[in-house]
Amino acid sequence: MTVILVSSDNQDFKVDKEVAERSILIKNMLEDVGESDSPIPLPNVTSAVLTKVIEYCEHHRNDPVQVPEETDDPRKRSNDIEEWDMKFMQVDQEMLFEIILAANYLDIKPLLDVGCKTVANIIKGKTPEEIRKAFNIVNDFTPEEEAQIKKENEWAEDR
Amino acid sequence: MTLFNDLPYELQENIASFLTQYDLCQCIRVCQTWRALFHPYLWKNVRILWSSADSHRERTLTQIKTHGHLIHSLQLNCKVSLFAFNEICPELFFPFLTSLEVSGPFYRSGYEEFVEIIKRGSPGGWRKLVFSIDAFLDYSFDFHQDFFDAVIQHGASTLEILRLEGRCNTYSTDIHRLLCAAPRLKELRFTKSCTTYRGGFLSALELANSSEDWVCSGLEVFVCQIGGIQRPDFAEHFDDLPERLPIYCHVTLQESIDLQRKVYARLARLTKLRELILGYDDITVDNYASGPDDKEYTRQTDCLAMTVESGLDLLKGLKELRFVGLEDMAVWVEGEEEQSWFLEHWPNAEILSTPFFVDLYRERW
Repeated sequence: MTVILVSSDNQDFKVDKEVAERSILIKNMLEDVGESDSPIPLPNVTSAVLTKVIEYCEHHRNDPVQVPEETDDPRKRSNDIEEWDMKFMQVDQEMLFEIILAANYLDIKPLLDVGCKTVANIIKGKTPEEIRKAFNIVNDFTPEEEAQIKKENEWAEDR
Repeated sequence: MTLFNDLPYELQENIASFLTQYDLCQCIRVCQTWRALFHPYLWKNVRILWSSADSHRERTLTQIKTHGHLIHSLQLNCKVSLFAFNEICPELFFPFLTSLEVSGPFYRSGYEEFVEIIKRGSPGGWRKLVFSIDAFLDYSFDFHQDFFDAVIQHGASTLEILRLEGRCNTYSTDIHRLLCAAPRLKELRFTKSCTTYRGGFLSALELANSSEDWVCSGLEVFVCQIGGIQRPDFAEHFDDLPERLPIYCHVTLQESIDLQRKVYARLARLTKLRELILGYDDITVDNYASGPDDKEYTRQTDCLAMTVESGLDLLKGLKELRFVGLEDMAVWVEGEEEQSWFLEHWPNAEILSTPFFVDLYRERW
């Protein structure tokens, strides 16, 4: 069985129901309307982003349903990303953020986590200046403020 | 163009959750927006080095005072006693603190300070408590009734993880009480560093005689010695046991097996167990200073047999087991019958045991 997804720019995407149901949002919608051929509009997702999201769902169509993270202790969370996902996420930053937003809207938790991990990995190990460069951010601190913050956080700087 | 700053807060927070404390410290120095965003996250889970340098400690305390209201989980790695921390503590208010991990050498103090904080309670209820000391110290910490009273009073319905690691002694009645009171408990880990210190100790007799059930049916990790089991069968394998090992005479084999079955029956209800460690982990003949007789004495009086004969079958429902530590406690687990039982019923579990070394024993004597 297939379903038709319609992107914000009015493109139709015909996908297997099983693939589309990786999105909890779509799964719930399908359950609500029952058997129906009517296309599902996704006004928050462009065709470029939807193409990527469908590619991800196709690849992961047979994954077991993810159990929620056992721990909410963030320092225990792993940043590991499997190889296929890593390659999949090699996109420009705008697309990366768009995928994260789409995964959030469509409620695809594994994709959302992979996206967030990818951003976290960009930040990791960088100095503030390197982070600014990576995300195109302007430093709006005065030198005094910078010194002050650095001092305030001495307790945590050791590791 | 979509930028990091355009993401909704909960997504930025999700990203922050994958960052270490060090990374978060860099993030708050990026720009004003990032500072406002990451600052609460940096303080949500803090890991602090309680340094031996006075000035560093003072500055750290000032920061904790200012940000205590943001802290959910606090890890203190102590290079010196917590005394000063506790002196200041009455002024400190942690409205969200539910997780406290204290580690360090402590130099003979630390227990009182730790218990003091536990006693003050947590508005949300204690969720995770860890006390971990350097295994190479030559003194131990006794966790008394007052500690468990405080844990039960302030965490019975919330506690998920309790770890007392290193030379911490705990007592049977208290552990049993906690297991009967904490339904959300997922991990109970009492490790010890050598035989002089008991670590967690549950008395089989107490378990058998108590009518109270363990309520922690979701327990996944159980690392605690269960002892006080007299094992007359063990004596059969020695021609001449040293005279000071008379305890096997006190019960019949059937009595010993009945007692063990009652213990297995309790464990059998913990069907979510992934890790079950009952063994002594690092006692080996080589580092057991007092000689092998003491060791065998301990083995025969202080451990479950884990044999088919003693009722291992009661535990066949523990399908989630991945790791079973039976080192230095198993008399028969190397037996063919037990080996095939483990393979059949716990196919995914790694079973750690040390060989039954009657021969080695004889060699030594």
